[in-house]
Amino acid sequence: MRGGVNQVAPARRLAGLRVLTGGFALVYLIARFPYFLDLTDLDRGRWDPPGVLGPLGSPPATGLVAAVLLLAIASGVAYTAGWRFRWTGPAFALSLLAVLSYRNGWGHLFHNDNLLVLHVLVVGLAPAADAWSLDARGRSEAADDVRYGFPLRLAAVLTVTTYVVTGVAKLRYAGGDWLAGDTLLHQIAFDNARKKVLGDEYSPLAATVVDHPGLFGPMGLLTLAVELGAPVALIGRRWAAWWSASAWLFHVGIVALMWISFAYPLSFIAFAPFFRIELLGERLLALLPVRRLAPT
Amino acid sequence: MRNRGRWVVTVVAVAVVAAPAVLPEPEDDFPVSTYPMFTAERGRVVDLDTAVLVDADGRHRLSPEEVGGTDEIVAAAVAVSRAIAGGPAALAVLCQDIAERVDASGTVEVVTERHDAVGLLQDGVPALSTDVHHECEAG
Repeated sequence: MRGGVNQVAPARRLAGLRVLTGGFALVYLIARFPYFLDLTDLDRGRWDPPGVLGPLGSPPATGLVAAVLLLAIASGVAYTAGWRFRWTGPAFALSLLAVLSYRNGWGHLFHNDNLLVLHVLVVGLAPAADAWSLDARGRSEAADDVRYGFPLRLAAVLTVTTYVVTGVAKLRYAGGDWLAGDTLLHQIAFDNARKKVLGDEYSPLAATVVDHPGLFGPMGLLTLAVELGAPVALIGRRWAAWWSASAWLFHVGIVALMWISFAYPLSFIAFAPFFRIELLGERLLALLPVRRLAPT
Repeated sequence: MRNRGRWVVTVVAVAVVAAPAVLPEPEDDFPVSTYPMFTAERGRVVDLDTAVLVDADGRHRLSPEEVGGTDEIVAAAVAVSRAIAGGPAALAVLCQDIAERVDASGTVEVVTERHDAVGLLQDGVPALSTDVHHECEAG
């Protein structure tokens, strides 16, 4: 890991990750606001809360759910804008954790929110509003520092770790069947068949692809290579680019064959900690009137 | 934060997130997960829990919103599976919930359909067998 955890970075790079993760989470929370509220109508017998909500023996009242949702959105706006970040950063991280734990508390654990929550926890507890923020208005931008680089490095390490754990799970639970391709073939057939009998949309490619069982061995091997090979992304930026592109294509493949969208990695924001994202932000800001928020 | 502190935070964070990969009997959780998705060997012939509406015109598929009260397909399927596992009382509750969500008249059946998953996808092969767990009236 080049530079270890003591990577020096500009404040703008960490601020860029703040804006990206905050913007993504806000769109998610607002777009799915009715869905989150609808969950309060589900049969209470289905309540099986994970993680931080584990101690709750029964689902929280509708009013409390709505209040935490609104808190998450309000603090998310502040987090993204970098307003009073010392308070709103942790508040958003914790309220997002609460909302998405609630989403996962109804008998099935989804796996597409985990990395987003982990990244927001890292950024929310870091000095991520020292640039490109309302807090930083009128201040000269701080010099490059390890306190900006370390949270980015930690977020990158967490991205890598989650993929490795996913790969280990395939070897641990499916083992040789995964490498043979049978498990993957049957998963794709099962998942699409379930969608079909439940009246949902399913992959138009699935019916064709399952007719070619020979494809699934190499596909299983490539999946494992991407997941277990994730640590190469920590070697350097070029490695990170190749690995991120591979992981992104892997998620595109999941959409194509299973009609399952892991929106966070598909947005590429999951891989942003590996890159000099401030360069992209600077180009965009040059085009936008909010340019004045960024001291030069 | 000093150098040692940064390493400690990193090691602890990695240990927490990676723990499910090394613990002997880890349980899936959120946001720290075992990421077990797609690892179960399903086989080609699969049992699919769902609910259908039966009326004078035949059997009709219901949407995830009607079956599980959610647009999350997996959550809807899990709701049916848990009700089946929960026995008659849980099935009655679920069936009644579905009947209230369905905007039509007929009989709601909570079922397990056995399918050749590949055949179903490729040629729409009908269920090999159907086990009706519970039924109730809608509309």
